[in-house]
Amino acid sequence: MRAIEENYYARLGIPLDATPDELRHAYREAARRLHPDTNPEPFAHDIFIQTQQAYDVLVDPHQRASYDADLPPDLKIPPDITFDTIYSREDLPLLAEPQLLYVLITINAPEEQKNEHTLPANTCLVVDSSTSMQGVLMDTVKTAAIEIFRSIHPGDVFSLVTFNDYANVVVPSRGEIDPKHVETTIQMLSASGSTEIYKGLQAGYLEVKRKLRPQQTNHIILLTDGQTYGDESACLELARQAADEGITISTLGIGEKWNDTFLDNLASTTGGICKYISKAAEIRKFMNGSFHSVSKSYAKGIQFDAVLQPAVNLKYIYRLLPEASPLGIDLPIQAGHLPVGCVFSFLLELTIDPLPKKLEHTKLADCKLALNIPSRAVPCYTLRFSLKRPIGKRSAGSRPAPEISRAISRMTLYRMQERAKEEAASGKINEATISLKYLATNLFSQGEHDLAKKVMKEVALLESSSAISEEGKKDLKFGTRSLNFDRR
Amino acid sequence: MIICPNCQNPEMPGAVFCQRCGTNLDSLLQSQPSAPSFDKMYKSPSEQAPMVNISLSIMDAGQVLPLLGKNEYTIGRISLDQPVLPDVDLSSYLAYEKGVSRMHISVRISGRKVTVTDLGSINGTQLNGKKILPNQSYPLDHGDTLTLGKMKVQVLIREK
Repeated sequence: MRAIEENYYARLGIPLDATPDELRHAYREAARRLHPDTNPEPFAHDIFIQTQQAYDVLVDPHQRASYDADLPPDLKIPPDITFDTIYSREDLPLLAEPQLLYVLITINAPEEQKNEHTLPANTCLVVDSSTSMQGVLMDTVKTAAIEIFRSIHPGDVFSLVTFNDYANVVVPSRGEIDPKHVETTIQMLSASGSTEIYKGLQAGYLEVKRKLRPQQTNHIILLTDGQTYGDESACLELARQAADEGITISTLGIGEKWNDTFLDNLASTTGGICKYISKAAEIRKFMNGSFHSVSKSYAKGIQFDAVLQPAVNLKYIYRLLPEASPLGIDLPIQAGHLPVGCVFSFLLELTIDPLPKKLEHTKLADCKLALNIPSRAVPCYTLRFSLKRPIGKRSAGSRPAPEISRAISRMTLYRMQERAKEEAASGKINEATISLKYLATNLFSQGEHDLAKKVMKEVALLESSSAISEEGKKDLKFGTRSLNFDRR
Repeated sequence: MIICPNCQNPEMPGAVFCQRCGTNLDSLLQSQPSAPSFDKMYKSPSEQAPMVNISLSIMDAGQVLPLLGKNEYTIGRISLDQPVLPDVDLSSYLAYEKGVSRMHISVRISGRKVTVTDLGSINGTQLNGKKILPNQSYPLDHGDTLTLGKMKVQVLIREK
């Protein structure tokens, strides 16, 4: 059993400047998770008592003030991150019509400290072994599973679940890990039955939850080729619950047939990553990149929330780094993680209704970015900031900074392929063809010749068979997402 | 409202890239509070459906390119790093070697009237041997010769 966090803020998982509302919310969450009635683990009872004690002190303003005064001063030093917002324009003109504004938000993480110990990760690998995985796909999955397993550090918690119409916990999270046994089991996997992702996911979730610690990386990696039948909403519901409890789900789609929209939703709900692997050879690359970075987070469970002014509407959020992906617009948003020494950045698209006259400044939104930085004594840290702009009289020739311009360009390319796919799906073949041609033109002009050629291949296919291929859909989606976003 | 110069998609003021064709709208970033609406600009009463067919005869190559289906055509050449594409691509007729710009001229048809506008090309455009000013429209008649850089093109106009 690990030591219980020594300060009350860490115990409750809240920042030093938590508002009374945030305090109450955190307490209720912890109570729900740790109450002896719902959590039979022996450690849960102790932690529950400790949490109660922390809450009783912090909820009383006088006791909280004197508790704060006694905290060691180094706890109050803000984390070593740099935070920046860039707007697409310097001021807002007073217009009689709605207008667009983009805001690029970035956080830089500090480099890895040499003496910093990496926190143990709690990873569950959930592997699809349904009939459709037979042959090459199964081999790909086995290679991927073994690569993922080998990237697990000694001391980490690891569990393995396979599933088809039912789930099978091959390596439970509380057991000892025998590497030979695990690798042999993976090698011996054979394909049978149908795909029911929910079963596998639920088993994986229970394994991770059994060893759940707020301060470590709790990660489910789902490896599947599969379309699942009828249990999508149950899976998404489970993902939301997992996100609430600090569990991230990443999804790795194998082959051409998998349901990318669903797996993408599943991952983004929890701030995880969704990747497409068409060949076994690509797996190692991903293992060294994205998945590695999830387990080497400086900050995890980044959550973005905003209170928008009535005239302001949030239209789109697109994360650029560390992994490009749309984030959905239902606030608050699970925005992912920040790897050590890396950058986290996302772009907001806002529309602003006509503004009243005689205004010099306008506040657009109050925002909150909550980070969980496990290496700190008080892991939760919240950046609170407002988005505001002066009202301008048609500022002369102000162009957006190259950085945000490039970010908007990346987002535009991603949305262009989404648009083309929607048009093709609703039978507007001509529009879809034109959209894809525009996309190809843009990709060629940016030197992305390989992806542009794939787009042109789909144009030809669209013209001859009135549909975009399944493989093409994924190539376009993940191709436009993985376009290099160099901030300099 | 701002209008994308490439695909005529209407966008909100403040748009940085056209959502439809991806064109960078930086230069249009300024709001245009009194800008004419899409309909006014592109479907004004003076605009008439084309009543003539136009072809371009590439004189050195002896080839004729018919222009079909629109009332305005941009003519130039396509190269790799180019966001905005002309409707008519002359690159297979050694356009680069002959100094044709990527967006060199536009030809517009309204009723029986045909006009040409140089789109600010690097090497300029001559109409029957006389240089024309950029961004101004000049009337075209059947048999007129346009010189784009050094490439000679004859304009053929026929009643529909």
